[in-house]
Amino acid sequence: MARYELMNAALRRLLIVEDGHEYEEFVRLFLATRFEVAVAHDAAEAVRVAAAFLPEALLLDLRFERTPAAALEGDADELAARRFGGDRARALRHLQDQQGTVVLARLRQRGCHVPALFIHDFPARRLDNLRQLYGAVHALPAFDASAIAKVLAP
Amino acid sequence: MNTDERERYTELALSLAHDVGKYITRAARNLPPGNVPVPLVDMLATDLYRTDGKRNALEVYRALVLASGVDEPSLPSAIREGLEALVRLEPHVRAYDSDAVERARVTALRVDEACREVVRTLSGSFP
Repeated sequence: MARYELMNAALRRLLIVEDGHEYEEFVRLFLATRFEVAVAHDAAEAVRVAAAFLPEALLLDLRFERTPAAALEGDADELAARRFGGDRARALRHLQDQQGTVVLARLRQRGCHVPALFIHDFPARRLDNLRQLYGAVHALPAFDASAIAKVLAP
Repeated sequence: MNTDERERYTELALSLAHDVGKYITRAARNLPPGNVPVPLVDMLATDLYRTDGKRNALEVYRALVLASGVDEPSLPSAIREGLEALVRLEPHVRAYDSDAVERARVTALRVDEACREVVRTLSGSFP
């Protein structure tokens, strides 16, 4: 908790979860006046940081292709058996491609119900499904600073 | 196009939209009019010339097309041509030439739009 003691009340607390640094760099450069930022790079770290930082909004990457398989959230063996005819490689690829939603599921399970935003062009039906599962979920098709601020810091 | 080809083409289109279009416009979409501050030009250069942390956007595009097994001529030529134009602009963008920065901004947005158009055509589901 000590790490986050100097929170600026004027800024909205934003937890970014991504496998690289692109989202963080973007927010620090274009949205520094709107958000105080904490960053996590996998689900376990996201849960830890959320518990200490108490975010008011989440910004999630969707694809975690740079994350090692061992650090991915989700049971690849179970997924392979259930959806991919036992093909573990396909299951891992799916987990990487959808890891942001898996991280969100984990955060929701741990009681973090603040609005979440993906920078991704979800088909409308997929976004509806995510909203049914996880409540306040938003998506924007591009890194658009004013649109992100409008959604997460209205 | 049979089912397998369509699946590979769709996967490639989504990868181009995500791995190329989205990242080359990270800074480009948000640059202020007029003289662009140095840190923003630096981010633009990173987006265009170290798109995946190592390779430029044209190299990422070529790798994605190669890995997909899709014939490149089936993609809109505007994507490759735009990415080639961005490569030619690199020394000028890195020299903070404001005309080059503006041309790179416009070109990146056009490439992104061309990538999205491919996905829209395939899925009909993009906004």
